[in-house]
Amino acid sequence: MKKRKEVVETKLKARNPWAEAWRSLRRNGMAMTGMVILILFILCAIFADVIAPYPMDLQNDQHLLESPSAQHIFGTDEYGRDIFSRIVYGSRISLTVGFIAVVFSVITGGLCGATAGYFGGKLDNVIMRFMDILLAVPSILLAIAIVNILGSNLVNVMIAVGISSIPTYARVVRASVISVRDQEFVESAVAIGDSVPSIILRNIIPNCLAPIIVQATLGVAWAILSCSGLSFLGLGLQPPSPEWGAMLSSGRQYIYDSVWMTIFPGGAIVLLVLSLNVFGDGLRDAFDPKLKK
Amino acid sequence: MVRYILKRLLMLIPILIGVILIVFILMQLSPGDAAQTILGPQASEEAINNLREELGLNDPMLIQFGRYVAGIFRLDFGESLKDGQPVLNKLMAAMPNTIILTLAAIALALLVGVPLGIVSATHQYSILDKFATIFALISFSTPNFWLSILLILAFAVGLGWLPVSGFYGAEYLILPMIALGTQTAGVFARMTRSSMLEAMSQDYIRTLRAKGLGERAVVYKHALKNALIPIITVIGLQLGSLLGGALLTETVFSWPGIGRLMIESIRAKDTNVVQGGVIMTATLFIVINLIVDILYAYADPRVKAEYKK
Repeated sequence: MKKRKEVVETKLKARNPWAEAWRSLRRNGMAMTGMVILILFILCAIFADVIAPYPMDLQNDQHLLESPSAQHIFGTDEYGRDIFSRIVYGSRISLTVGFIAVVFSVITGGLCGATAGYFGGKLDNVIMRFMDILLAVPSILLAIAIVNILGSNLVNVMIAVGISSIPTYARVVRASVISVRDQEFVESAVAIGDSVPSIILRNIIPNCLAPIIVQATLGVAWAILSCSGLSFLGLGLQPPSPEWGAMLSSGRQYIYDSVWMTIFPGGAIVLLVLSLNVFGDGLRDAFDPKLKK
Repeated sequence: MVRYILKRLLMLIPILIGVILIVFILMQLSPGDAAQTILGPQASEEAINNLREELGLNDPMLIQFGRYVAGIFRLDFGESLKDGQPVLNKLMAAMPNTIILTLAAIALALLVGVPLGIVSATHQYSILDKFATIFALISFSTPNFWLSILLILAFAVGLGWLPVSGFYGAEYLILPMIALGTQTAGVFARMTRSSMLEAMSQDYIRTLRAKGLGERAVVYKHALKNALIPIITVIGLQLGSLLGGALLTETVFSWPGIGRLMIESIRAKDTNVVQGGVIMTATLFIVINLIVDILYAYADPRVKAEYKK
C-alpha cells in the first residue's frame, strides 16, 4: 500500500529529478565546498605544468631537506626536489587512479549486478555468491595480492584497486535493479518486445543511476586512499613517482627532522578524499527523496 | 534458532572453499617460483627442477589445489619458503596480536563513536552535532598510515610519552589502537546518529512521550535499544576494513601481527605464508560476521521469530 502511494506521489511531483537534485545540492554549503575543492584539485592536475613552480623531478643538491620557505613553500625533500611541485603533479596520479579504477569497477560490477538482479534465480545466486567470496577478502588485501601478480605500475594499481571494489557496485546495482524491475515501464518495454540488453541499458540502468553516482563518488575517495596505501607499503607506485603515498613512505625516514616531507603529502590526501566524501554525501542527500521532506 | 545457525554454518563452506580457490589461483599467478625462492638465486637449474618435483610443483594445478585444500582441513598450510617453519606456527604467533589490536580499535571506536552519535542525534543541528559530523568526515578521509605517523610525531617524538614500535606491554597498544580505530569511530558516530534519528521519529517514541515518559528514558531505554541493532551489523562489516587497515598500521608501528607478517612475506616472495595469511584473515572475517549475524538475530525479535516456527 505504502509503496504504491509513494509511486503516485513521485509521479505527481516528477518534473526533472536531476534538476531537483541539483537545486537541493546547491543549498548544501558543505557539499558545495567539497565540490569547489574537488574542482580545484582537478584544475591542479590538468594545469600541473603551469601551477608547479619547479619540474617534479628537478634535483638540487644546494637545497636538500630544506624547511618551507618563500622559495619552496612546502620545503624540499632528500634530493632537493620541491615538495609543492611534486604534490601538484601527484594530484594527476591520484585523480587518474581514482576515476579510472572506479569507472572500471562500476562497469564490471554494474553489469554483474544488473544481470543478477534482472534475471534473478540461479544466475543471481551464482553471481552474488561469487561476489560474497570476493567480499570475504578484505579489499586492500585483495588489491595487494593482485598488484603483486601484475607488478606495480599505474595501470596495474588501477586494475587492482578496481577489481577489489567490484562486489560493492554489483550489490548496489543489483539492489536498485530489483527495485525497478517490476515497475510498469519495464513491463511495457517487455510487452512491446524490446530485447533484454536494451531494457537493461535503456530502461533499468538510467533509473538506478542516482545510487550508482553516489557510490562512485565515495568510491573514488576510497580508491585514492587504497592507491596511496599500496604505494606507502612499497607495493603500488614506486619512487621517484610523486604519488602521495610513495612520497609519505620516503618521507617517513626523515620524520625526526623534516616533518614537512610527511605532513604535506598526507594533508593533500586528506583534503582530496575529504572533498570527495563531503560531495558524495551531499549527492546522497540530494538524491534521497526520504530526506527531502 | 539452531536451524538458522546450522544453515549459516553450511553456507560458510562453499564461501571458504571459494576464497581458498581464489587465493590459490592468485598465488599461482604471482611471479616467483617456490623452488627458486627456497634455493636462492644461485641455484642450478637441475637442483630447482629436482626440488619442484619433490614439492609436487610439477603436478597439474588441480591436484596441487586438492592437496592444498586437504592440507588446510588438517590445519596444514605448508611451510615457509624462507625458514622452513610451518606456516601455521607463524600465523598462530602473529594472529593473537592482530586480534588484540583489532578488538582494541573496535572498542575504542564504539566508546567514542556511539556516544558521539547519540549526542549528535539528540542535539540535532547543535554545535556538538556539527563537530561530530566534521570529526566523522575527517576521520574517514584520513589514511590510517598518515595518522599513525602524526601520532608518532606528537606522542612519541614530540612529547616522548609513548613507545613507537613493537609490542612489549599495554602502553605499546595505545598509539596503534588510536590510529586504527579513529576511522571506525567516525563510521560508528554517523551510523549511530542516523539510526538514532530514525528510531526517534517512530510512532512508538511519540506514544512514549505522549504518555509522559521522561526524555532520558525515551532516549536511552527505548530509542537507543532499537538504534543499536543496525550498528551490530556494521561492527561485523567494519572488521573487514580494520583487518585490512591493520596491514598498514602494523607496518608503521612494527606491530608483530598478521598484517606485518604478510607484507614482509610478500616482499620476500614467501607465497606460502602470504597464501595462508590471506585465507586465515578471510576466515576470521567470515566467522566473525557469522557471529555478528547470529547476535543480530538474537537482538532483533523479528528475525528470531522467523526461525522459531
